[in-house]
Amino acid sequence: MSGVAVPGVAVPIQAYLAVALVLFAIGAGGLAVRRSPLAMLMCIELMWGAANLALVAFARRIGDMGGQVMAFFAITVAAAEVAIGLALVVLIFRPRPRADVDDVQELKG
Amino acid sequence: MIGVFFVFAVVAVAGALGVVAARTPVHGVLALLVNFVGLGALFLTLEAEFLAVSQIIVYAGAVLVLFLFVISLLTARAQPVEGPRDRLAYQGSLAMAAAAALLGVLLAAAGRTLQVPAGPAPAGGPGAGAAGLLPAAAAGLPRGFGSVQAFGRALLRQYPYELELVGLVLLVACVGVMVLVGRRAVQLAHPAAARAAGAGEAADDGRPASAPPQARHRPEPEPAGVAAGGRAAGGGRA
Repeated sequence: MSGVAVPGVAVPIQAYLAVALVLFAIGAGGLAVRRSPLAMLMCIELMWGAANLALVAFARRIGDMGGQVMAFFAITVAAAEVAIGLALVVLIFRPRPRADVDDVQELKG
Repeated sequence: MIGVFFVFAVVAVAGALGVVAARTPVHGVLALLVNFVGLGALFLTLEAEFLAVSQIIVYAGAVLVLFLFVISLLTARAQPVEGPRDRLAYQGSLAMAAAAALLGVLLAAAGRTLQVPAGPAPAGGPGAGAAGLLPAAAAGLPRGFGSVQAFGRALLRQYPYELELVGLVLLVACVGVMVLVGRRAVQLAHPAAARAAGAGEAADDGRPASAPPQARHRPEPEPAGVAAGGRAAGGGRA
């Protein structure tokens, strides 16, 4: 087994899940509150991390490595997503005076 | 074990709150780093060694550096941070309420789901109750669970096609980034820059530039000096 798993008081999976859900809610709230596109992307990263934590916790609970593999795929897709997202942010906000998503109004009728 | 969990759970949540609260983008990146380190440690307590390492390498090593590059690209000007909230002023409290409601719904759903005992029974303990405790080390887990060998075996034997698909996703992302932030794409991105570029081309052709119908689409007045920050706009103006 891994050297980190110290036998002792076991942590209930509810605790991990609660942490994951709190992180997800913080990310979702921050995504709605912040208006800097970089901060919004960071909040999306928070939500990815929370989902990964839930996946890994359930994998440990069930004893199936598939959850960890899915979390690994999620990490990879998150990296691709942040690359595309940051490219779009650069594309949209570099000619603008400030990085604020409320300023993007070209599609407003 | 439970002490380690609490410490790093607090670290992760504090980092997440720091991301939301940070006024400067660099501070947000640092808070996100704290969150990722906390998450990596939590992965270690869940015996996901490979995931903990790749979390640190991919997120803290690559993604955050990408964020820093973009911050250095975007913030080389007067107002790098978001301006004062002038529209949708009620949105902040509303979003907080919505996030709290989301957390409540999620917690309720998770609590209901976890009532059903599933998986291997925990190794006993007086407070185990409804199979809530994670199985202690080597009790209900397959042999070698969480090791890099087991991870690689699961990755390559059970999910080989998914692995190929993820590689394709990364390839598409690479090509997409190059297409998006290529030189011409950046110059034609903003209406002001596109207008300037179109005016330049029209002047080269000898035909009059069709500036008025395009200028109609911009309701908000923008300072010409900052709007023409790109080199294309500057060249079109000259």
